Amino acid sequence: MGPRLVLSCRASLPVILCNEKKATMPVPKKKNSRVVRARSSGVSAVSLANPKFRARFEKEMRHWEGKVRPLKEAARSSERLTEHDFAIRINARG
Amino acid sequence: MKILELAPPRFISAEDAQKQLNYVEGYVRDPSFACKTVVVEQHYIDRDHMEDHSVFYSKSLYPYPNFCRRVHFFRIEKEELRKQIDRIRNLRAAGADVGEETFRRECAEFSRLYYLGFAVIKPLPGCPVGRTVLRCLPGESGKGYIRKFHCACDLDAHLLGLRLTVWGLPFQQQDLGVSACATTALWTSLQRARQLEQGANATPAQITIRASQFALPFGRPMPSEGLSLDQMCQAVQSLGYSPSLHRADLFEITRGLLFSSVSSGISPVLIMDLDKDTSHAVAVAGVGVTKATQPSATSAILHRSTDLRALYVHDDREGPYLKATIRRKGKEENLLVHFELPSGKEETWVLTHILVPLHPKIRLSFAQLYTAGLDIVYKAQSFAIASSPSSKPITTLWKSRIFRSSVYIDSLLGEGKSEIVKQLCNKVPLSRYIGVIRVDATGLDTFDVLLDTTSTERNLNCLAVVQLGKTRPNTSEFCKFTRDSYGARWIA
Repeated sequence: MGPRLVLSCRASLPVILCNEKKATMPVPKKKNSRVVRARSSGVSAVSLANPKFRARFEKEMRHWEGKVRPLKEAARSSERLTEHDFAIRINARG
Repeated sequence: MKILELAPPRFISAEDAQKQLNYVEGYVRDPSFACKTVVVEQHYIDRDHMEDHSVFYSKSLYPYPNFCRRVHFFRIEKEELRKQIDRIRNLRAAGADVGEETFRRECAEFSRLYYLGFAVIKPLPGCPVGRTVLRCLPGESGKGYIRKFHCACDLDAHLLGLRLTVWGLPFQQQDLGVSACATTALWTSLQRARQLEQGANATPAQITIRASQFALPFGRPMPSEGLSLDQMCQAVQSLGYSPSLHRADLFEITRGLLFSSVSSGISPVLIMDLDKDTSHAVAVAGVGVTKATQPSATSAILHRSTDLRALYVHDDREGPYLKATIRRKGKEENLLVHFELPSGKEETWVLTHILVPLHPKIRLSFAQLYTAGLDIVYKAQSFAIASSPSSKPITTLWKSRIFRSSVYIDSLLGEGKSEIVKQLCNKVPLSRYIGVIRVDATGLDTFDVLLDTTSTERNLNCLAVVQLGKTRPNTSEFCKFTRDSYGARWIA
């Protein structure tokens, strides 16, 4: 005996008029997870595994790295002192 | 200060000699303190004066006394003060019913309500103000900015059986015998450094002697002819600290380093020029910052030092907690320090160097911490922009500070982050002092990156990425990225 094909029947959904639909349809229960809250506020969770997002992130990184490079260099150069710096005499009186 | 009946100085005007004393009087009379009563201890042994006396004044023909007087300031009427002192003393004398703990609590409460601090009066008519600790000005300035005295600490004074506590930073005037401004500024800065590590304080005489141990570029060390920056560094080093010196070339960096140092509770010494021949040193006690950071019209990375408006400095030529406004002339890179002196005169100095005495275990300087912070924060800014659903400007705010690890953990507990503290303590061994980069980026929860300050710039050891909130889903993704980039632990 081969497998039997079993047919099951289900009662069809009643036809509802448009203006009745809202009143009879069950309201889906809202999930209150962090992700849902974040998405509803317009922020979606991003992933660095997503190549499109990764590419956008790396492009921004190249831009901002260029912006902070002079500051990094200036911070480093503030510690490169010469003999002249150490020879300053501090002697204000009062 | 008629009550002190000071002997008039011989060859200089009383106005000049007592400038600092008059400043102290004006300070405690200010409406925010409203001093009503002073108590004078007639025979007080001050360690700093005793040491100065031993090294210098005892060898004079004139028999300067080795003891001082000490004046305590209270914001309470004389009769009420007597009653309160008697009440607390009797409380302790009542016996075992009142424990030591209760007595201490009563002393602390009494100090909080009524005690404004003290000033040591030295037996030197030309420079009477010795070690002086006055309560810091209130946080609310009423002028659109907030005062924050990060470099102040609780200091004790014992009077009539009570232990009085005042929140302040020690000040004293230069005497031009043992100390000039360089020695005095270092003395103040080291007072704070010693407080962090519970050590004995260096006296002005010790500082001047250590400074002139190996080099005398300007002749004799005493009477003090001033010190060179080299000598100041020598003194710091020989007193057990590492002198971290920065040249103030670029306005933004200088302001950032200043803010980082002061908000870490480490009092920096500012070296400033008025003209080619006059350099001065002052120690910083606190800052004046705007209540909220001004938003940027375009996307930007902003260090919290952009909020810095003023510094409160101990200027030994004037007095404690003197306000100095931060200024910039056009697009010039010099950071200007502007004083409105009590005499009505105005002075603008150019900041040339910042000297920070660091604990020897802190190998990472504030400039190196700033550089490391920039490396982290530009990635956070990039992530915030890349993940932003809108094209609105994105501003990332950040600050860089160095704390004792126990102080950092205590501050987390104060912010209600006990679960994070539990994880941090279980998972990450912390160095005695840690560098903390705190980042507030749009669309991300606030997070801290902790750096090991015993490591150096080339081999910087990142300890942990501490995520302080869980309301924004992208934060975890960025924290994981930071963890992987720097080889740190992720605590959330």
